[in-house]
Amino acid sequence: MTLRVQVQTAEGSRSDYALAGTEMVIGRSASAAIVISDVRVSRQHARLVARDGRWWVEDLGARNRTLFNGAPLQHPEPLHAGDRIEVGDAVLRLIDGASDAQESEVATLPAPTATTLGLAPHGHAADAARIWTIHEIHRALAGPLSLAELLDVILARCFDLLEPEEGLIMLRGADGVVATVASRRRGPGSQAVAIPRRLVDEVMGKAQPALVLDAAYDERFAGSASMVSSGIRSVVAAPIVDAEGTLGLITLCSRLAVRRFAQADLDLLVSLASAAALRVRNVALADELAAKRVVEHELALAHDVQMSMLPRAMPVRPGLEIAARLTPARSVGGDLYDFVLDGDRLWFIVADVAGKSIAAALYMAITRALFRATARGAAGVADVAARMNEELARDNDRVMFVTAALGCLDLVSGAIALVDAGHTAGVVADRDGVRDVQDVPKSMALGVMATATYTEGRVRLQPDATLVLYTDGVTDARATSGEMFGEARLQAAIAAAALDTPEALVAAVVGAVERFASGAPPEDDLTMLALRFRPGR
Amino acid sequence: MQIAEVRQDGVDVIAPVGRIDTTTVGALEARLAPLLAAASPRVVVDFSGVDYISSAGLRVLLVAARRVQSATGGRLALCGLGESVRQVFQLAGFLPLFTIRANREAAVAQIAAP
Repeated sequence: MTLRVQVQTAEGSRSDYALAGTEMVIGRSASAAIVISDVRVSRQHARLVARDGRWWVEDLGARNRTLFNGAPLQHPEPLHAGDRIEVGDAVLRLIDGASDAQESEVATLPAPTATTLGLAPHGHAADAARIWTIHEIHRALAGPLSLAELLDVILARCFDLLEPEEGLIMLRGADGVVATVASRRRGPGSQAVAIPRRLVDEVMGKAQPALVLDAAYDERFAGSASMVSSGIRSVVAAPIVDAEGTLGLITLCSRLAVRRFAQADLDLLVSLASAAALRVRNVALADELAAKRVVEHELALAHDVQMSMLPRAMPVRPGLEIAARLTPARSVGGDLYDFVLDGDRLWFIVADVAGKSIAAALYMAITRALFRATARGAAGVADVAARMNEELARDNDRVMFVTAALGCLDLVSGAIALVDAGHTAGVVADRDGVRDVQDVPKSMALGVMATATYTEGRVRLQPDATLVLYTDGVTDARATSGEMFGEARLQAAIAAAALDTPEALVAAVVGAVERFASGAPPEDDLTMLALRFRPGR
Repeated sequence: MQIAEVRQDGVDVIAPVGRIDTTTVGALEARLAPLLAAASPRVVVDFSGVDYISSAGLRVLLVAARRVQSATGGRLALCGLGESVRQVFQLAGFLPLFTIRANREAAVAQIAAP
């Protein structure tokens, strides 16, 4: 049975759609098949989907619920004539498709735009009308403040003036890629047509408009069988161009049976696109600036959070020498070091949260809090890692993770237990040189898998030997040539300072990295911790 | 960052070139997003042009792996890992989390298999 859906909005406007294709999205987005302009409706609120030979309605995780026949829609429901769907204040009624098919959206053939607007090809009256139309366009475009709103308004004006079946706006992104940023469609279906690459390149490259009278006979559409078979045959495209260059393009399409674009339509679209260009440029710049301010503010905040969490003083115990340093990157890093002095045990951690953002800084704050909470009184460092991991992996929707070296120094025997949670277990430096810490098995970074297991290894430091832990900001620091500092330089720098105090060793290595980077600000946080212990002193 | 993208035997193959770090990872994430949004995403990430990946890059791949696991019939494979890139995966303990093949052909064959 064919079904139709009648949409009635709170303002009383009614529209009617035939269920066609395989999916029709209902939402506030201009790209939805059934657009409902209501702030309580999500951009993609729900969808009607064809499956197993019938139509179903399903919620798309909308913020406000979808009601189906008066009850909240919990799972997909099959659709029948007489069913009632409510999204926001809009009511969608399913009706038998056969009953009033003549109300079909595409059945009304709009008159050519030039005629509607009174735009004859020549004469002062035509010019006056044209100037008035363009004035109106400028006024309409002056309102919106965000790029998304502006694009919606531009498409709305295109639909008012040129009555296409489908319209889309493509813009060149910061990465140079031209992508569809807004689209709108009259009638059923949700799939925006793919505009052939050749047409996009031609319109944007030469900053020249294009009028395609019939795509089936136009070589730019050769190989674009999808557009021809979808019935989109007549196309007008105009570059969004200003003095500084081409920003993108507006393309409008229609099936020939519905609408055949003419030169006058193209002229109008070109005027509209050039009016749009100035606003798109300004709004895009404002959006970019605002986003940049937000990012900078976030970075400053995250930096403060990070620095406030570092211990202000090193733990003091007879025989213990310990030093740590964190050089923050300009763009926020997520490094961390911390200590917990717990009776005759010193717990320590050097960690790196993936990603640089306020989210990473907060994740780091959680990591530190967990370290402090679980270390005190714990059975062993593997146990601390396992418990921290379990908490960090729980509800980790943002997929954050922390790589960490965690250790516990026995302040009586001098034995050290270490866990390498997706990090490195560091190096040991003494008068014989520098060696990677051995016998510490590799475990998974913290927060990735709640069920991961953690295994500790033992390190025994000879008197005068120093354990050095670090984050990848040290080894991955880059010279202006792009070359990385690397393990070999790190080991050489540590070896040269192996017999110095941990304080002097850390300062020497950080100095070596800074000289290598020749003053370039670090791209990532750079953290080092060095410790030495002589029992019984 | 330059990212090549082809479709091969029903598998989306993307091949970033250069360094994947904090400054470039956004571009990779943006290119992966539409591929991962497919009903049954089948994606190969070819690292043969990548000389460095930071933990921020690992995170994006971890997000991709999660997304693929949660989609019915979704599959993800990595290939062409150079020594330094492999070491970053190894250090984080991530090698067991991913299907890794030596080259693109092997990765696509793995993913395209019924």
